[in-house]
Formats: sequence, C-alpha cells, structure tokens
Amino acid sequence: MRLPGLLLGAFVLVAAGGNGVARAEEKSSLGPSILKVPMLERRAEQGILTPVPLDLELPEDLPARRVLVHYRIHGSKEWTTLELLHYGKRWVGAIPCLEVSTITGDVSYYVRIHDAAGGVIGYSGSRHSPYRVTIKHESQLASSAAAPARCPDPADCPPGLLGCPSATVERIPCRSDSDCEGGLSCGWDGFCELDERSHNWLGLDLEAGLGVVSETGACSVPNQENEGYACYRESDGAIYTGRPVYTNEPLGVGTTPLRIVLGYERLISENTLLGARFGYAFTGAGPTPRGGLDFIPFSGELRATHVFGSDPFASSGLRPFALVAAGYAQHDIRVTVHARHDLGYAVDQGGNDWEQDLETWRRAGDGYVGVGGGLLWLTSQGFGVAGELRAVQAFPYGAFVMTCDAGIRVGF
Amino acid sequence: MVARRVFVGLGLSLLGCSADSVDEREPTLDTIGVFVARSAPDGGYTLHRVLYALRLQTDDTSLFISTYAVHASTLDGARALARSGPLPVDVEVQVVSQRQFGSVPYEIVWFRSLTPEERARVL
Repeated sequence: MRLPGLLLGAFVLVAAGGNGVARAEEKSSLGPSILKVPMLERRAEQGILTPVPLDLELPEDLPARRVLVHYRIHGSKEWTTLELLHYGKRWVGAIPCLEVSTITGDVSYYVRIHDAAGGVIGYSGSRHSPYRVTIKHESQLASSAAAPARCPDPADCPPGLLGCPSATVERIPCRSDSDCEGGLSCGWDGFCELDERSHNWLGLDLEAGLGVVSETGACSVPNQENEGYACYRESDGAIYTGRPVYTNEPLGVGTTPLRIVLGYERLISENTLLGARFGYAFTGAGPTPRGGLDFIPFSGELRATHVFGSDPFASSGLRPFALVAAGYAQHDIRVTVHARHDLGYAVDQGGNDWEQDLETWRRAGDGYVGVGGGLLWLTSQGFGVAGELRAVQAFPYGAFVMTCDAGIRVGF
Repeated sequence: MVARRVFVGLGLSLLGCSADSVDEREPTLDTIGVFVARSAPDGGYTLHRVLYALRLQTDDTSLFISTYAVHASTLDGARALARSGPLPVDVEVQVVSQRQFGSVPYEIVWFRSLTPEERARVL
C-alpha cells in the first residue's frame, strides 16, 4: 500500500512489499534496519512559503516509538530535528512553512526511527545522502504544482498538532553513541549531547593517616606473636617479652605511614567514578621483629566515588564527593603503651621496670574497607585539586584508621 | 551427671570471661628485683636491691641483697634513683635475714626484673 503525498514534494515511505519501496533486512554498521527508497524518488520540488509535508508509514513489526526528521534549509549549516506525530499507522508532520520561507534551493532531510530505549532502529536517508526538496518560486513551478504562497499564522496552527508544522526536538534520544550524529555522543540521560567532559582521570595524592588501636594487653607475648603488635622498651630499645598486667588501657592513637598514591578513575555516569589506586609508603613503616614478615610498602585499592551536583564534570567549580573503597594496605601504627609488670612470675625478661612505657607498633591490615568524602575543585574540565578524608577499618589485624589525602586530578 | 558437667563447663567459661581483671600483686621484701629504701642511722635513706630470697624452715627468709653507693634524703629521691638506671654498687652481694633487714623502717620504692648479669651474682 502506498499513501499519497499530502502536497507536492511529500515524502512517502511504505511497508515492505510496497510499490517500489522496500525494507531491507541487511544491517548497517550502526546496527539498525534500513528503509530504502530508490534514489529517483529522493528528489521533489515545491514553492516558497509552503510547508514540506512528511508522511511515513512503517512496517508494523518495527517497534518504533519516535520518528525524527532532521532537515537543513539551503545555505544553513545546522540540522534541525522535528518529531513526527503518530497517527494510526502513519507518522506525519511537516517542515514548517516559516522555515522554508522564501529561500530557494534545496531543503535536505532524512528520517531516523527510534525505539523505546532511544536507539535508532531504522532510517531513511542520511546526512551524507539526504532527501532533497527543491524550493522554487511559483513562477518556476509547473502549474499543477503551484499553490498559493502564504504561510499560516503560527497561532492558528501550533507546532505538534496534526496537520500543523512539526514540533522541534531539542534533544535527540539515543541508546549509544552510534545513534548520535554531528560529533555528539549519547549522554547518560539517553539523549545526544556534545560531551566535553573528561571521562578518564589520573590522580596523584599524598596520603597520611591516624590509626586507633587497642592497648589493653597489647604487649603480651601472645599479642605480639599473633595480633601484629611489636613492643620495644624505651630504656634500651630491646623488644619486650615481659609479662604485663592486663589493665584497661585507653585506645591508642598513632600515625600511619605516608604514602604516595597514583590513581585512575573512569567516569561511568554523570556523577559516578569507578577507579583503582596504587600506593607506595615511603616513610613511617615500623620495625619488623625477628622472624616477622617485612612491611609491604605497596598498596592497592578499588573505589567508587559519587560526586554531588548536577553534571559535576561538565564545568569547573567546587564539588563535594563521597566514596567507598576496599583494598590492600599495611598500616603500621605507632603508639606508646604503658605496661605494668606482673610480679607473679619469678622468671622473666631481665631489665623490665615495674611500670614502663613501650614503643609499640601495630601492623594492621592487610585488607581494609573504607568510606569517606571530600572536595574536588575543578579548575577546568581537565584539571582539579582534591582533598579527602576517609574512615578505614583494617582487617584481619584490626585497626581503625582515618586517612587524609590531598592531590591533583588530570582528566582526559 | 551430664547436666552437672554442662553446668560446671558453663561456670568455668564464665570465669574465663573475667580474665581481663588480673589481681595485681604488690611487691614485698622477698620479691626478687625490688629496690628497698631503708632508713639510715644518720638520716635519709640507703638503697638496696633484693637479688634472691631463700626461704628457710625457720620461718625466716635469707635475702641476697646488693647495696648501692647512693644516699637519698627522701623516699621520692630514693625512688627516682632506683628508676634512673645503673647505680654504683657499694656491696655487691650480702646475705641478711629478712626479719633483721626488716627491723629497720624501710619502703619498697621500685621493681625491676633482674638481668642475667644481676642474676649471675647470686647463682
């Protein structure tokens, strides 16, 4: 079945099996089906000050949700998009009369059919090979094609109504970058956009921290052998192997190693970064007791960051963020433990005072999970400065660690 | 019978829960390694250290003590000396009766476990 054009120059597509027009099953590089129209039917002509009517009938099995017409007036560089109105089996609309105006020359257009997800599932014509309607003065048209040249008042026929000019589409739906044209890419909100954000971010940070560890019984031999503690006498530096009385000591707070951290993060949505970081502790590691495992200065982390704000990477400015992270790191935490000697044992390490302070190291880790937040100051779309504070729980050798990071971010 | 065993087991495990609260033993004159400040006849205090205590069947204890060549005017001064580290020794080892040694006013001012060298003086 073939529908007649509404006016001279109307473009008609019909379903497979139609007269001279067929739907090809082949796949283009973009993936959508192709609606073919012979090249001879790609040209038409009409007079000035008349709309270009569009009337399209699609195969019923094509799950079309929106049909968009992209057109360009002669002499213009910009493509404008219209949405056709679904009317029964047909999709109809018109390039507005006021757009056609009195400019003679070719009006170029092509059609793209979108499914519910925004993906292009069919098209006819393209930017490189569009349909053309040649606009001529009425005097140059055949008398049968001549029509009174007068644009209707837009107030009488608002865009988007049946029989009126089509509504202009500001945002073109899409499912992937291949659904977009003209240097646009498919945004996370399902519409084509000019994406100038940096999607890949490298970071260089300096990380310091404070760890909190339990001091109760910390320097007993079992805790030193099994819980990652190492205690040294301040009097002579010897490792402490005495028998301390278990008293309810307060929690100890000490510094953790200073690390330099290199990170890579990928922007996976408007507000979310996923990434990995690798660090190296260059100072602050504690001594390793004889027979113990050496401190491993390398660390690794996987993290997800949510940057608050509307499209925070689209422009510069100060952006707060929150993050969750998990990884591998050893945190050597230095505290001073007060040990009171248990006098109930006759044989003991020599030289232990009744009460003494012990330089104590807790090697916490090697795994950890953490949450945190911070501020990212984007000075441009490709550079920023970041500072963050994290609460980290190390395991299986437990410690609570607050880390503070500061560094730069470079996007590309 | 089984019920009684379970009850006893529960009781023992509950006792185990209170392991944090260890009774702190105070040092006495026969605690090896204590520093003792003893009133001197001319005032002040002399400083001694118990190296070994040998309990006798006569209800007395023989103390092996070192006497340091220091003199403190107060107990706090004696404690500070004891904590300060190696002190000059006046009498390396002397065996005295605890009863006799304790007959003069004294106070235990500090404790430090004996090093192998200190232990070797009496063994």
